[in-house]
Amino acid sequence: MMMNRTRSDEGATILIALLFFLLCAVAGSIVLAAGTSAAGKVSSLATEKQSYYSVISAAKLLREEMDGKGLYCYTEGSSGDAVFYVSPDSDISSTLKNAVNAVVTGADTYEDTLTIKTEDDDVNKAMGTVTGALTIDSKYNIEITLSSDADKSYKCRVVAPAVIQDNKDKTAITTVDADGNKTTRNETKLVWSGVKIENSNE
Amino acid sequence: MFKLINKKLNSSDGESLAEVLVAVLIIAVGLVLISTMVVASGRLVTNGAQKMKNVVAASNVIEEQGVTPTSAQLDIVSEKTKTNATAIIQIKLYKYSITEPDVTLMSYSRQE
Repeated sequence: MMMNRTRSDEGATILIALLFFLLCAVAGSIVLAAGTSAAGKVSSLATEKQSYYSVISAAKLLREEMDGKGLYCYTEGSSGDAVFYVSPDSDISSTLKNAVNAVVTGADTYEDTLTIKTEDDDVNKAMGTVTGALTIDSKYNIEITLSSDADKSYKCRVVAPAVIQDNKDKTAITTVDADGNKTTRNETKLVWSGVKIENSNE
Repeated sequence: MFKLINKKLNSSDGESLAEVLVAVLIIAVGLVLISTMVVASGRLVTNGAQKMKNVVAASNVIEEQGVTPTSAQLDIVSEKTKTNATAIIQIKLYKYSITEPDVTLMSYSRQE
């Protein structure tokens, strides 16, 4: 039918012209919509960049707080929390001590979530709150995975390998008091060294 | 409807004035819509290009810490010890803003 119509010398109908126009309009609209969508993605660029800076700033700060920091603690008997001779010289000392205490007193791993934000609400609104998932394993190696609540497209990991100088299982000191009571003290001495930031985006 | 279109395509008759007017109206509306989309897309592309330029410029300044920092306080709160802030750290906050279109980027580092 269409072939006959194109070979015919009777002139094209307006209907064919309209169909052709419709076809062109649909094709044009698809091209324009694709272009518009691509241009629209630029608007999220600033949010993504800000998310990167928020996460990387937090990661660098945590690296500074852990790199080269160590502790020295002991437990007595089979129960009770660790006593720290030397606490880590760090602003996140209490978090590190909690994590080490959990492992020293028998846990295989310890997990915690850190929320990192400034005191200024306007700054928080612009930067987003950074959340860090902290894990410490039985060898005291710490890993913190950071992401921004504003935009989760960028994630990074702060990895802090522990160098154990005295392990609770190896350094057991038994003392006997005047009444003949025996006390076993298990000491742990470690330092986190070579802390690095790894990109954890898939 | 299909029958009518079929009949129309096979017919060798001319178009009536009403048909021509309706066709012109459809084409006019279509052209207006498409031209609006073209103009809007053009504006969006221009704005996008400017925004990208501003983001790159702000990013360069932040990367090089080429802006005077302000003092701020950072709280690191542990979920396990929710009641108190685990750590309060003094930081240097780097903030850089560009207008039209507005782009603000911030980063921080520990205050020595």
